[in-house]
Amino acid sequence: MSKQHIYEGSIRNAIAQQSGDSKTLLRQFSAELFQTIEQALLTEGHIRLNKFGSFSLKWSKQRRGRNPQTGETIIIAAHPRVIFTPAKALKDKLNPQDIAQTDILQQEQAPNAKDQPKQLQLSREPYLIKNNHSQQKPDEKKSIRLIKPIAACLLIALFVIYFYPQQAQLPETNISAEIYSAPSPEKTREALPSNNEISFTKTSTLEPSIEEQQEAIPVATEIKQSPDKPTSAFFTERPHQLTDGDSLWRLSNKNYTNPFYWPHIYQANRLNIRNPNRLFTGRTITLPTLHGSPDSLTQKDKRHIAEGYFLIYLYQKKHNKPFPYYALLGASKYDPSIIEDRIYEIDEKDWQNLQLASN
Amino acid sequence: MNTGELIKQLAKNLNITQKQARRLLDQELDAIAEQLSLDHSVIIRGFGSFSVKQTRSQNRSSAFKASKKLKDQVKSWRPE
Repeated sequence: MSKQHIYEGSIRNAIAQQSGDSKTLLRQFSAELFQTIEQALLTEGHIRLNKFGSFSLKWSKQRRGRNPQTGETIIIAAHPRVIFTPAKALKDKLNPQDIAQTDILQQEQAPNAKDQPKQLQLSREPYLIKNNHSQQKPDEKKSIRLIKPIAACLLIALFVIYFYPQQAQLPETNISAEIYSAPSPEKTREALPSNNEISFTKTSTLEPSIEEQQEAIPVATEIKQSPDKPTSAFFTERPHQLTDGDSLWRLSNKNYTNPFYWPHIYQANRLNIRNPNRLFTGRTITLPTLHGSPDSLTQKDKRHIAEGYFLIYLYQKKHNKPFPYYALLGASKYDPSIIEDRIYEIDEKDWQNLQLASN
Repeated sequence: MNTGELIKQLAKNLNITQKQARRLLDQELDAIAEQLSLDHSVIIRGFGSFSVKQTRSQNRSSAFKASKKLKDQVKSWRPE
């Protein structure tokens, strides 16, 4: 049964249809009725309506309360309260299991000539009340609630499609990948016959989840400093104070136009950032210089980014995260020499996986 | 005040017979009670709203919330 709000007007219309009384009379009557109740409350403080209930006034002392919106403590002044106590007849009506009993009682009392209204009440059909405006509202709200997530998903999908061609070649190595359903090693090995396809499958599987992760975080507030525009470097080093919603991925996307360069920032701040997935607002990090343009990186940039990816590998290895060699793939993508230089830091298993993936 | 006194006053103020007043009163309260029994809440402008609430004993009872106007009207009342 739906909960509806019925207004006195619609009740009056139903009564008028049922009994044939004029609506004007009914309107005058109910206005007078409630006015009289009000007056009676003021003069006597109490009024009892037979078989319905009683209204009374109760003095409510001054008390302390809280503003429900701000939680601020306020003092509620002493004031009278209108109390309604339902009569037993009304309570019985509200509880269907008791209605049978009351019906019998009423039928027993019916022979009394004074109880004409009761007979009316038993014989008449229920009042039919049309109420149009209260039932539609929840549906509208529901549809709005549905539209929001759908719109969010669409936005994410568009975002992914937009970035897809740019980053397609890059093996994505986000540390938080283990949260999501990362492909099992066997599957990835099967699915990776050639070098290009490897990176493709990985970006396609991982990128949406990362996007979602980023979307979930509240949007970072605008960086106050305007980016310098030097003639030589695409981006010159500058400090950045972390605000709510910042992530390395986002900062990289914002400042280097490519989110996959985030290990660049990680590498530059390796002493400050212990866990790249967890940044602390208020701390200041350095956004390192990007010498070349995002499309054509200089050798120095590539090496730096590769070192960043290698750092991610070390982090993942240290914390037993699954598939740490993904980060190695990223590192070797930017600078293959880093693998040979730091081979003593790579686990044999990961080395084998890397060889399998890159052959 | 009780129902009899209320009916007398209503009949006097509206220039109708007491019998008529009683019938109209019963009709009105009946209709409200019936809507409440259907789990609807009944709103009377300028007076207040009746709603159904579930009491702990699995029984349904009626709750009344006074309207702002009524609250303002009775503000001057003080207990003896």
